[in-house]
Amino acid sequence: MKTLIQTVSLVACLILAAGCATPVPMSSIESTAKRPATLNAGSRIAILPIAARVGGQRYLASLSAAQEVYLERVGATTGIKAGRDIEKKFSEQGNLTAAYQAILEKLLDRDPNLCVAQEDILTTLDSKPWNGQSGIKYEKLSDINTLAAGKATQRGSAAAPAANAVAREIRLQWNVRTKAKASYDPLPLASVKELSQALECDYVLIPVVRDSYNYVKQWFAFTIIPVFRTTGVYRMNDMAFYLVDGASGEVVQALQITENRAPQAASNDALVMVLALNKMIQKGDSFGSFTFR
Amino acid sequence: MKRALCVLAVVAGVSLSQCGCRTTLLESYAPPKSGRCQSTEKILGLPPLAGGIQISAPFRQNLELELDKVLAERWGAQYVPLSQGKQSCQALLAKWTTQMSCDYDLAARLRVNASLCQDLAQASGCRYAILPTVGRCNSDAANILNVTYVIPAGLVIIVGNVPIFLGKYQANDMSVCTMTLLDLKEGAVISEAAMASRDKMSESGAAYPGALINAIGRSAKIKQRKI
Repeated sequence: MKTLIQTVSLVACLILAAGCATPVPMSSIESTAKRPATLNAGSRIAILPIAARVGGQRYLASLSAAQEVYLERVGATTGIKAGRDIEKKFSEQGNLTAAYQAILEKLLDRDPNLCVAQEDILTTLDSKPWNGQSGIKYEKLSDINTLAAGKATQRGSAAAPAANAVAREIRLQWNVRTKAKASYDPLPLASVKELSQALECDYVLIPVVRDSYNYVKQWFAFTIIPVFRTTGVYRMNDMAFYLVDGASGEVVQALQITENRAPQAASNDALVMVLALNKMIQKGDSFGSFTFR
Repeated sequence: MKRALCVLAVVAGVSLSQCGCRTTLLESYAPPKSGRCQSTEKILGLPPLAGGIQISAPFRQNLELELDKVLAERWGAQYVPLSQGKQSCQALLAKWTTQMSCDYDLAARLRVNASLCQDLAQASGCRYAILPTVGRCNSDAANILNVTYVIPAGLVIIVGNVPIFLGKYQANDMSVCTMTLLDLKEGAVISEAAMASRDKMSESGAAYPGALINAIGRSAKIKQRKI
């Protein structure tokens, strides 16, 4: 009987530990040095298809669907183009794919500009809920994963088990590092101009999902069993966003988000995509205000 | 104390079972809806796409031969080998390789090239296609010390694990291979398997596709049985 109680208690503890509210933990690093102050005033922005070297389709499907959710939430009148509109242009003009590829060659792999440096400025999100004037509209955020999962399923593609696992509790923990120094070479100007003209936009926003993996050597230490070692490969979640001036080909803003606990955080992919778009584009207050301090 | 030791032994056993040189990650993704892959429809083998790396001609050749061999074993007459497809749809496959070998969302690429997919389906008589990709990814390497503790607290035994980060070390970027089952008619991704390996890819091109194909094949086979 005692053993049974003990086992039940242990199982209960494990269930409690697993089921406890999990805030969304994120850390990001961004470079905003070249972002013009006038960008918000009626600028037209095209969000291009998600870039990835090989890419897990199940992740990309929910991220792609999240872009549509974002557009619905901020409204189509804000000068943002994404998803089907962009794909239609790509299918009509075969040269756009080649132009996009020329740009991606410069952006797809590890970005040294978005590595953490000592002089970077660290801020934390003020996570207070919306009070009518400022704060975050958590109720607006909480349905994003569900909506994104629905859209991914509608598309009939490899939909999103990740997005179906809705975040248990949306309470953001977001640490932002702002780069003191970042230097991007201009992207291939002809390709950027070709894209921005064809898509009739002032800026292009390029989302990049980096296939990042962790190779880990783990040393296990027990009290009665000696130390032994295992090795393993683990998937990481890195999402980078580049806002590129369509006239000059310059990267005016770059943001990379890393989710700290990859397996659990996968359920928040769609949410993270929407928040990142909100941070990069800064149009409307559909999700409330995101203040960092 | 006895019980504590028992729990410790179980934990140690579980951990020990993971011990070994596992430097490969294999993840597969089965179709969300049952019955999406119809067993009566044929599956076309497509030429491998490379992303971020150059693959040599012998590697490509060996890989294609291996794919044809393993997939024919797996799917039998339902599979139309790449070697056969190259003869019947040469021009379309050349166009496919040019149009599709870009580094953005495969599902979006399929939608963008919807007419090409349909042309390929019509010319080959295959509704489905299997697309292998080979690429590289960024990687980090770390040393971690896991200290396991067991605290008997009355009726409850608390078992925990404290990971202590020892430091990073130099890592070379890894190889990633994927195998994706496509619906050419609908222009959609049905299922996929991905494998990331720290080990250098075999020059013969024959070492890794088996596991991926097994993963894909298994999910497709389950769906076939449901129909």
